[in-house]
Amino acid sequence: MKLIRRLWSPLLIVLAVPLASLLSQQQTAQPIRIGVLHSLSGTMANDERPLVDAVRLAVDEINAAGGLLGRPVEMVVADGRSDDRVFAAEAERLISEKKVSALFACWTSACRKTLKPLVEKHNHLMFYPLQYEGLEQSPNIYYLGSIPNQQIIPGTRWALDKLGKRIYLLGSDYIYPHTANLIIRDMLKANHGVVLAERYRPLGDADFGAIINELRRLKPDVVLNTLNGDSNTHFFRALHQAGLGSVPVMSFSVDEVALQAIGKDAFHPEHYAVWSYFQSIPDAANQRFVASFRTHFGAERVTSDPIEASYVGVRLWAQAVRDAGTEEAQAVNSAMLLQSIAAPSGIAAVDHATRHMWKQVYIGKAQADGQFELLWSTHDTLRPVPFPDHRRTAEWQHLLDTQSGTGS
Amino acid sequence: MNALPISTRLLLSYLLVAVLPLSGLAMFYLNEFESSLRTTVLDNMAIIADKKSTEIDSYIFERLSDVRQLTQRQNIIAAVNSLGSMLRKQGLNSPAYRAAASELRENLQRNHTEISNYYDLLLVDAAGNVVFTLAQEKDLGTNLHSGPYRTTELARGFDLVTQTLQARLSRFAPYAPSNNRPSAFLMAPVLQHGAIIGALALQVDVSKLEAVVADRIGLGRSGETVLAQRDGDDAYYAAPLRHIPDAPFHYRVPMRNAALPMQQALAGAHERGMIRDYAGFECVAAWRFLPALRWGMVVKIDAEEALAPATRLRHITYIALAIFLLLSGAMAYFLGRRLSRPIGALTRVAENIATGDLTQRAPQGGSDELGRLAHAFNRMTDALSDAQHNLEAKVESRTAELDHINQRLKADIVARKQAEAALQLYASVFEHSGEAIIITDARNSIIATNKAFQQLTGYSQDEVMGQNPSMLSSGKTDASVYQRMWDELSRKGFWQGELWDKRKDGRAYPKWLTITAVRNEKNEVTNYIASFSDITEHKAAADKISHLAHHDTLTDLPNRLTLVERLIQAINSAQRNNKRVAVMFIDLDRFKTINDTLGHHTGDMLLIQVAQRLKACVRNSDIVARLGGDEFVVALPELENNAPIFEMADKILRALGQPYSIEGSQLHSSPSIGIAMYPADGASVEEVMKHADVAMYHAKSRGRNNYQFFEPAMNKASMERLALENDMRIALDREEFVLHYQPKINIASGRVSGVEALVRWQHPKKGLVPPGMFIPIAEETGLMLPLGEWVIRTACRQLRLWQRQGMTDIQMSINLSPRQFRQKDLAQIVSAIVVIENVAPEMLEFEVTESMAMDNPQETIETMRMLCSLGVKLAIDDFGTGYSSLSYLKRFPMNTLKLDRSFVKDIETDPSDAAICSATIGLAHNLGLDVVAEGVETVAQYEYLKELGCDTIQGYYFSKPLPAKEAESYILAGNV
Repeated sequence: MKLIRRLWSPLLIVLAVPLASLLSQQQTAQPIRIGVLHSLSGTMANDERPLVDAVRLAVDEINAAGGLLGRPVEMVVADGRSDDRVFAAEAERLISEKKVSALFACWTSACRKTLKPLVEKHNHLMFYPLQYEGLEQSPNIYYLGSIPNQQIIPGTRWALDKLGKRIYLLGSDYIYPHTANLIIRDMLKANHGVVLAERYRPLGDADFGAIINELRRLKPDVVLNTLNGDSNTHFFRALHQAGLGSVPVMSFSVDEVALQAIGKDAFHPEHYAVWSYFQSIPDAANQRFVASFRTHFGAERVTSDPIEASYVGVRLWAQAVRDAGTEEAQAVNSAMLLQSIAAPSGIAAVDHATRHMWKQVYIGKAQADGQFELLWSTHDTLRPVPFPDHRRTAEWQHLLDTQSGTGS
Repeated sequence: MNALPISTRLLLSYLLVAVLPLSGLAMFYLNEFESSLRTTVLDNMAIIADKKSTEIDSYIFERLSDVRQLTQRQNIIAAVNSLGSMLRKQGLNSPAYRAAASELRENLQRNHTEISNYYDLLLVDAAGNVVFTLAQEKDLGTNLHSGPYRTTELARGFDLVTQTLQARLSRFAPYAPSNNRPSAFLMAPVLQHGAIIGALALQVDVSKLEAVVADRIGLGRSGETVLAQRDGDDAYYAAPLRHIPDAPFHYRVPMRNAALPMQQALAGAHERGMIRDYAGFECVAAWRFLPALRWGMVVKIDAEEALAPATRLRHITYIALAIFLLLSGAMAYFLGRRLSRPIGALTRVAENIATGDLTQRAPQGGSDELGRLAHAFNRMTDALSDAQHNLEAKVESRTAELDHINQRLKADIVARKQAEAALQLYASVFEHSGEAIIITDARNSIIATNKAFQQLTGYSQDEVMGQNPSMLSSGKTDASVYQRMWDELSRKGFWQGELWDKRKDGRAYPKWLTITAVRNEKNEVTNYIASFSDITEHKAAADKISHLAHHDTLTDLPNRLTLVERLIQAINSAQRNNKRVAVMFIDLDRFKTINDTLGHHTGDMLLIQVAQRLKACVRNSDIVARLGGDEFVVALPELENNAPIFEMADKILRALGQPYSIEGSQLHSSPSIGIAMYPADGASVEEVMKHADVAMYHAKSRGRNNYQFFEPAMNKASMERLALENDMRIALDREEFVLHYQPKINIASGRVSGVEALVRWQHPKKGLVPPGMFIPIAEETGLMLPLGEWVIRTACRQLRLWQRQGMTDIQMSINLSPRQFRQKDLAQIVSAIVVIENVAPEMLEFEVTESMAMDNPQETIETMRMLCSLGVKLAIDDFGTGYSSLSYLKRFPMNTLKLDRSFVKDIETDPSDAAICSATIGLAHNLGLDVVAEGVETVAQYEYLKELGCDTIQGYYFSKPLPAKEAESYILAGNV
């Protein structure tokens, strides 16, 4: 027994050292915060709300798998109220007060252009999930959506090859459609297409009588549609009422969510869309994603290109945080540069030179059930080229300057 | 326990008290060391993998811009058109095609030496016909949509680049026409006036990427880079493998059987970890997806090598523990035995005494405690009766004392043995390491070096002992690197990176250095261990790649990328030191003409000489770069004032204005220089460069061969010009151009003999834009060609309309611009229009100014002959303003001279003008030419010219240029 007593102190030391080191590693698990800034009220709310769900799905999955760096991820959701000034104020609050690690924000180009200087001033990190007009690059923004060389250009070429060369251009009156049509005109020139007319309607416009009359008169081979928001609903209802079901329409901003809004009763049988993601992509990975989204948010819900991009953005960010070993924005920003993951749409890889994504292009035809049937794909991902090759960058810059004068 | 003999108990308690905690501690620290080593090695693999994927992507990006630049070359655009039409009309074996193809082949080999880096160059027309290949393999002449190679990567690539208007690299795959050699194609669309006319492809061998694979920095002895692409359901390996011979593009395995990291990389994963590789070896690896190639990449090193330090330490610890255990166990047992033997003797004596035998005495030997005990025992026996009851207590106390001494003794011996064994192993590892190693103390004085160190640096151990390792430094490494090194060492205790040191003989060399700070239990640094190797060869390879990426291949000057990097540095430093930076954009005047008339080879030689002269002009600290084409930039950093800029600009004007001697002939050129300053003209590199560019254009418009400083007003002027240029690009589509027609009256008949077509631009916002404003822009931007073609076609259409209405004797005159006149296929274009519009060619007349004709008389004669052979008429315009040589005038196959308006203006008042007119009319009539007088405004001028025998009159005296309808009425009225 004396012996046992003598053994106590060395045994204690043996046990104490590893125990102490274990305890020192066990930090108090502070959550990592991310800012999710979208319109939850106002005119953009219907479009943007599903993006918050997409972020939530990714965050839930990350937390279920044990979190990041041994810490949980916490969403700080803010409402931009479809107002650029509110977006700016909320972004400032999320960065300065809430100390979020990254912002997942915006739908419209106007919103992005408002937040860009702010995010750059703080040398912070923002993820933008929408397809847009390109001609932009920022050291603090990752652009998750397609740009014209990954959507408008191949889509227009397909339409010229398959639907015909007499083109009618229809868009909402702001920067994206104007820039898109500029690029479409270059494409038509390269492929001997003809513009019958180029028409713009104000955002939110519901009166398409004049457009319908003109379509009836000109009988274009295809309408290239860059309308945005609920104008699409009004346009397709007007087409349906006018009995113009056989006019082919190629849309650049109508996804599954918008198709749901147009409704089954105004179904347009000759409606095509170009995206880098459709809910109908048959891969097992996508089917799992769709099922998981529906389990979380309801069986009637659909996924879309912007939803997938938002989700992928969070997964990429999480991977970068893990690689950087910290959630600090600048470190994550540089760890993001070479990231890639297996995404529902295929391989999602960041292009380190432009902070845009490599994207595959799909063309789908709208079906009566609110989904798109896949008709064509590039099969390979395309390098993002924010300033397309066929004009010089200075020329784009100049066009952009003149555009921003006229755009809204 | 008490039943055991003393010696065994001693042994057991020793094991419990000393060995157990010791081995427990050792195991714990071993595991800690191993896991931190694993993290470090994993981090290293990730860094190397990221570096390689960036390198590969940059390499491909650079090559894509090569292709894009090639597709913008005029000779390539022309070749796609002409070879395509020859191939379609006359076939592959026609002499015309073969001659044209071999001419292009020679031209490419002579003027584009960079093409020799590629296996083949192919041109494809818009319909998918391969109309030209450098290697002349079976693919030449086939169609990529319908021919035998329609499923190749070339065909897929052609579809994608024409669909996306974007340059891209195809997949690597065996290419049938090249004997199944694994190839990829760098492809870009070829555009003419915005329309797709075909595509250009450069065929790349996979060996071009081997430099990146072969770069083994940080990969030790067993590391390697595995590359594979997905091919159907297989992983198809693209780079040499260590364990499988001849792997590239031969070795393939089904995806599900491929090593896990490669499976994941090909699915897009970006990971690191401990894995088993394709050959089943345990490895430390990082894996990436490379989007530009659609390849998976696994960078790995055998765990056996990477974790060798941990394994070594584990072995040493095991051996030390075993030796320690054996020795101290034996010692404990032996001491126990020695202790128990005299006690046993005493016990036996005592037992005897206990039976009553008091004659017994214990053996008395030694003077230690036991000896004294025996003595005392004996005395006790002597005095048994009174001392008997104390005996046992004494024995026990003495035993305890002994036990204590014994333990101290054992501990000392064991510790020394252990230390010796470990030291010996460490020393031998240290001495035989392949890497040079330096160990310093806390004050950073060298206390040990190994053999590899001595071989690498040439210093012996004695020469460096006590010195600071900075004695090795060459002074070539930036101080900030050392600063970062010490920062990181004090923060993380570990640093690795690259430094330039020098050997004992003074030669400098780059080394890859790893430093670890060794800390004691109080967390104070006691030593630094630095190991390094000479990376001169790796550097050379990396430098070569980096040089290629940062320099222009033709002149070896820094390229745009480098310029921007260095300007950023210069501006940052100027901002700190409150200084200025000047950026000078230099463009060679008339370089395009030299290139077009004397060939690209001569142009390239000229550029090389210009680069040499520029380099000779500047100081070492100044920057000279080539942006491409004939655009150069000179930047002067760290300026106090503007005086040196004037000096430099003058110097460059002089230097570049000297004649150039190129392959025996003398050439003249001059520069136009635009200058912008940081911070006065812009706060960023982009802004300053943009403004220098604007100033350069201004210098050009000021008549070339001069320099201009940027002023904000220029920006506006250049924006307006750019706006006009952009408007003009769409003006043709929007049909904003119109033709007006000025009648010409034959003096003899008094009737309208013809009209001259003149182009006007009805701008939707700016109204009528004068030709003097838009024609020069059209000339410069190349828009003149489509515009000129439109003018010819429209004039022909009008002519046919009039001919149908019975005005069959009206001649249509059309002006040709310099650029149009030099256009190689001008005759083809005119002939096509004449046929399509169905006009009689003899009623068309093309006007060429005298100065254009005399610019290159030999070429003029050839072009005129070709036009003549179509049956059209030719006139020399503005005659009298150039310097015609009579001998050429005779040889030009033309029909008419047009007297310049400047002579007509003062014909009545200035006798010398009158004399020139008279002489010209005489000369023309002698050569059998008609004479037209332009700019006739008064009746007096008309009468005078009639007197001199002039044939035809044109001018406001009769009519100004009129829109088509009005011109028609004028002709009808005059001809009645």
